[in-house]
Amino acid sequence: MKFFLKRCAIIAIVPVLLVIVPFIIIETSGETLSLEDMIQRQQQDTSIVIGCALSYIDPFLKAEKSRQINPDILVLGTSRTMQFRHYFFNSAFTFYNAGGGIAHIHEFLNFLVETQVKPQVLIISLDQYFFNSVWVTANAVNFDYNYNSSLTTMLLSNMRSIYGKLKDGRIRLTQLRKSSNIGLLAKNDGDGFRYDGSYFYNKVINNPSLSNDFQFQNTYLQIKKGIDRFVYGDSVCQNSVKMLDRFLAYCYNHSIEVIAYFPPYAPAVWEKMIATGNYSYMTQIDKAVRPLFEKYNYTLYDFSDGESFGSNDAEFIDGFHGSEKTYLRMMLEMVRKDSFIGSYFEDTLTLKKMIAVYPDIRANK
Amino acid sequence: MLFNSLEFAVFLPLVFLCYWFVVNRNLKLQNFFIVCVSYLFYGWWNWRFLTLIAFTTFCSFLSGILIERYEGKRHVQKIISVLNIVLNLSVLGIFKYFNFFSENLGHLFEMFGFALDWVTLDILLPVGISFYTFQALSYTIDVYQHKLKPTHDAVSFFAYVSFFPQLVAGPIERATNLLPQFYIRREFNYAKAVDGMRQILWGLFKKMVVADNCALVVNQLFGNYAEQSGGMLLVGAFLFTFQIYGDFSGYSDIAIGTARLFGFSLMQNFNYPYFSRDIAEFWRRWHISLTTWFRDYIYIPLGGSRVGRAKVIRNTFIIFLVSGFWHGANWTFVAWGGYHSLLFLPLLLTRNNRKYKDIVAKGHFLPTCREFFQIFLTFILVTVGWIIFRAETIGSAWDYFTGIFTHSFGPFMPGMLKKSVIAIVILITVEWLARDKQHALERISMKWCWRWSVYYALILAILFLSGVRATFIYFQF
Repeated sequence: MKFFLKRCAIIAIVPVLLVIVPFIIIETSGETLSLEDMIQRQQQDTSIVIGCALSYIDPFLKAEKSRQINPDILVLGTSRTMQFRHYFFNSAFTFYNAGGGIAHIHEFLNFLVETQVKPQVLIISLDQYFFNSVWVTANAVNFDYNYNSSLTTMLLSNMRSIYGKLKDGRIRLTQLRKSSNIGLLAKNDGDGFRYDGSYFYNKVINNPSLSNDFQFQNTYLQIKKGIDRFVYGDSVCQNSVKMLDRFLAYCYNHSIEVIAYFPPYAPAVWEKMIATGNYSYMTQIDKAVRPLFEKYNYTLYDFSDGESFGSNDAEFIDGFHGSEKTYLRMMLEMVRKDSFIGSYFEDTLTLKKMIAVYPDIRANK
Repeated sequence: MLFNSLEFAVFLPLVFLCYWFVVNRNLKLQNFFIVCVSYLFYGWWNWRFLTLIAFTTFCSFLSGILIERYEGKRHVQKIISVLNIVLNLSVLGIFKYFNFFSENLGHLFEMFGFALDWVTLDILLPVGISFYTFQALSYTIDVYQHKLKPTHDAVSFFAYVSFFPQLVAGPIERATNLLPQFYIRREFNYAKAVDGMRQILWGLFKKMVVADNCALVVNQLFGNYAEQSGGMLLVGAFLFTFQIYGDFSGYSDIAIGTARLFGFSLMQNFNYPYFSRDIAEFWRRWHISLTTWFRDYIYIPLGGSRVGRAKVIRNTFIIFLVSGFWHGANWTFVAWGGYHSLLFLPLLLTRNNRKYKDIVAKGHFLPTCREFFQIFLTFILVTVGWIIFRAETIGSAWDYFTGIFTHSFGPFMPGMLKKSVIAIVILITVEWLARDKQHALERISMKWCWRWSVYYALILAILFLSGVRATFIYFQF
């Protein structure tokens, strides 16, 4: 028996040693907290940002908080909605930004059905690649709303990435203890979701050269290779159009006012994409989906080209994520064009003042 | 508590040490300890499930004693065993099948124009209920059939039904094999324990590296099959074939290995089923404990294959359909059972169902071309069955299957398949080399340094290459 125990102990030494460091990091990062605990902590201290690096928490967090708040104004979409802030809107209405709550077009409907939220106004971003048949085929997933924050899951799914991050200096142990933020990303870089659901790009704002898309190099590479969100395509996915129709019908039947927009690309990026001639599906989207918006009497804006509403490259976080300043400009356009939605937003004068004090991305804290 | 969790990594050594060092002097105490830790293990999911397993165990224990008391009065004994069977199956029926029957009856009435508001129950399916119910039933039936003397040792019986290694996903042990092991004093056996550890290690590899990596891709592909290319749908079907094998046989390996650490021998549940040369051989090698349970308690009492052709066909359909339905309250499982009965029947009727009893390519490194073709064909047929099994509805299974041929073949996404494919290649290679053994790492005849290298390679693979951790598929059954 003793010999057996000795052998087991010797074998166990290596895995135990390997597990200890990630275990401590995960425990101190707060990534294993339940969603309820995370939300509660943020409620107690609204300066806390939540930025998890070891698990895909975004849709779960957004769904849970939307469920809790059931806001009058809900923003829903991918990361390309995350820069709408609560103070852009009329303070008489409750607001929540559920940006990151979905990643595919069919999830719009899932989100509303699963959370049972019923906002008065729903602002959605129709990311152009949702309608690219090639992208849809390659990225189709069936998302379920079960979030598993167990320590074992976190540990075993992230052993490699934790050691990789330690090696690259992307995890600093001292910072983990000091910061009151939740999650590795938030503790190390200060990046994460704010109290109103918007995303704080602390690292890029304070040091743009640290961005992995500095001067849009990464975006240009993706365009060149035709990969990720920049996969080439020449036809609009009809199934995506059908899903959008189903979603809009649901909103119409539940008296939810929908405001949709095609999110912006940095002007230089947009120009490059058009010049390649590989994204002809983009020019067909508007024609394919606008009739749906007319059918339900909803509003659709095309902000694909950042320049079309007065934004510029300096205002962009990366090639396809505008900053808060970009989003303020988009809002100004919306308020100007539609008097109904204007009642939910701050007035044009206030918006203009805000834009004036935003010196590009560096100041959008 | 999941086998692939940190909780279990702490639980197992603690229980092991207490078992051999604290409660080892008294057999009754040791058995009582097993009951306590098994209930702790099971209650970890939901403590309310404990009342259910305790109820099932108590009823079966009592039925054994009553059958003995009415020795000589066969009709009374029959009533007692039938009552116990009905009671246990009712519990299983309520928790697992009530909503299924209720909804389907509702649909049936709707077809005839009666719109009725059928009752459905909002209840959780207790983990492993089908497994322990069948284990408890086997005791009552064996006692009634005089294959086993009823026990008066309640602690041993409770330990038998709740024995934590095989409680939630088998192997479904027979009372004739496992119960007597609780009556005798267990001695620690070094060779058995080492072998148990190896089997646990291999089981963890199969579950965490093979099954969980395949699951990532499979969920994506089956979740949105309408958007996938034919090539990817085909890949998805193959990956699920390995996912379910890695998941379930991995669990069985961990269970058998864990039991060995405590001095128990459980039956082999998988015998390299994907190296089978026909469907009959596949069913002798896949989920052996369930297949033999149905054979002994349903198929043979119905006359088995020693009756007329019509009855043989009937019996075969019954056993496969019941087996399918055992897996879950969904028509897909029934259809899966039906599909396999259609594959099995021709072999049975032509008396070719017992053609391949020995291991494939015995004494050879590689199979012959004929054997290879047979294995490949069987594998394809089994894979088609798994599409039915995995799909949400029969309609979606059909759409998935036809999608393989009707959707455009590309694009492929080799990037997302890399880890799964590597894991599957390792699995097939190791299991092929070990196909004459009880499990893949049994009797490794290597120098100690190579042996330890294998252990560490597997440990590192589990730590660094495992997929996103998922619960075991068979828990839901």
